[in-house]
Amino acid sequence: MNAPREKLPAGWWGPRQVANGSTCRWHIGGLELQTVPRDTCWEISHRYHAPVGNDEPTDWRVTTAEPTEPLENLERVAFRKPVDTVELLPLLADRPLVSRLTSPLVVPGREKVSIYLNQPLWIGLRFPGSQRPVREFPAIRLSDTWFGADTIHGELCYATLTFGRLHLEELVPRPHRAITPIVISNHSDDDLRLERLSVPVPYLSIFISADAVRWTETLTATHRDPTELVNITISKGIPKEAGRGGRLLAPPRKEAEKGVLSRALGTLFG
Amino acid sequence: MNLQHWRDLMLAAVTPEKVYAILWALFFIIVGLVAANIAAGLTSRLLSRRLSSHQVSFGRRGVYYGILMLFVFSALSELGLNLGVLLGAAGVLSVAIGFASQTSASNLISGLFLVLENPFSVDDWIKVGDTYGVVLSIDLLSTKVRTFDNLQVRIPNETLIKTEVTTLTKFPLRRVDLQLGVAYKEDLEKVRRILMELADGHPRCLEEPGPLFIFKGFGSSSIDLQFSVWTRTENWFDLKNELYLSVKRLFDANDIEIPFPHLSLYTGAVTEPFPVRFAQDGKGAGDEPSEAREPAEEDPAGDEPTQATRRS
Repeated sequence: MNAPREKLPAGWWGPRQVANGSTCRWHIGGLELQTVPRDTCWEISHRYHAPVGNDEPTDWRVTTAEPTEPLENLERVAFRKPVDTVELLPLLADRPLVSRLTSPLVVPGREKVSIYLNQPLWIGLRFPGSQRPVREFPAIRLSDTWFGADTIHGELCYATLTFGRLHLEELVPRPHRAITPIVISNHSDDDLRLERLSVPVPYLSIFISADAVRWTETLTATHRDPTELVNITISKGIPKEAGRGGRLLAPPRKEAEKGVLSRALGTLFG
Repeated sequence: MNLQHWRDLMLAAVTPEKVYAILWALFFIIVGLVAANIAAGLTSRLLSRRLSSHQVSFGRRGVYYGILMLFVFSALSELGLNLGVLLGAAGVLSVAIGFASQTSASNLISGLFLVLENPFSVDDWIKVGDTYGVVLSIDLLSTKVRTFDNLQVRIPNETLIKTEVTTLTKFPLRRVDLQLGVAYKEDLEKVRRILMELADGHPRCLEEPGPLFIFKGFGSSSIDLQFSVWTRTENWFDLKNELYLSVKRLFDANDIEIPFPHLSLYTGAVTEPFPVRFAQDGKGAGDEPSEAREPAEEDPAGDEPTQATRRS
């Protein structure tokens, strides 16, 4: 598609007008998303050009062009009257994200460390007049995984692979990811070995800092005894690492009610 | 007898005491109906949070008829009926009915046990003997199952109690087992790597519990393997089909042979060599059976008739 390439400094989200019959195509992470308004109907198609778990290229772009063939998975959304605007929304996953560390991390007894996870975002597609997105697409195609004691008790999650960076400066911000700081306090005398981390992203918000990096709230996990559940709290607001001048980009999908949250977050480490 | 006579008889029979007793009996029954309805409603509301719909329905009916029966007995007692005689007659009757309808009674009791045990619910996928299907309803005498080719199968509850029933959708995860065979010459490490990459690259294969590569043994024609991946129960059927197709495609692309059973014919030391017939290019040997030519005329290999050569 020979089309003018346009890079929006603010981010890929927000409303966008598309002329009737022309094509608007976004490349975000591993996702290619195309929308074409045709009178009272919008054609939506998408495909993934990267394998599962891969999010190359790391930038994003949007192109507009004359009508082209739809990508894969064509769907149509119909309205009473012609609609010329579509809005992209940043969202977090609808299920917890289980991040497998590329190399296990050991937190010795009485130690406290912070790690940073770059969580993939979901892209919501909303039209004027509706409160909720009509369709949602993960920016990266993720595998399903199970997080639980056995194959009967547990929770279905999405799987990601992460380095589990200990230093923020090592983390490369990407437009289709949000950084989640996790503070792990090992109050026991034994070492705490981490191989997988289940992050309850449906309870987290997305913030954007002054330097246009996306963040979620900080999670604090306190480990006291191997036989006890991990006590987890979600800090309110944008993390201090994001600096000043940040703002809320998207509220959490689920409100963490008292009691419900402690159960849902009862197991963070696997 | 005329109407006057009937009227006199009626007036003699219907004494004020009897009218009073009938009114009391009616009152008991009305109160019983209201009380049974309220109690059944409360039971249903209390149980619905913890039990399945069938168990709730069972509990609701039990409470309703239990309470109603108490009030009916009280009403009968008010009318002067001897309950002991009535219960005795009911006992004798139930024994008689029991003997006459053993099968139905057995199914009925089995149905109650099924509701209490709750091995499966409506909409579950089950396997009973050779029958696979979705549970449509669990009734008192039988359970209705819709097979995947859209037939309704009625399975007596007694059968379900006596035989092995597999509930395929009880748990959220299910394992897909692929039975594979590769030729003896193949590099098993390479086969393993290809299969693992297939599972890693499929979004519906669970990352954890991880895929399993199981060496099953040296088969008669192939090295037998099992490759197992976990998935959500609702994805099981589609994933199994997709994986078999992908395995075939990947094995073909990587020149991994999927062997079929081989048969070697031993003809013995004294057996004559196999007769060999050569066909022209583009013609099958069977096309013109009468035009079989001498091998030496067409092919130098024909000099050695014991080396069976096949051309197509």
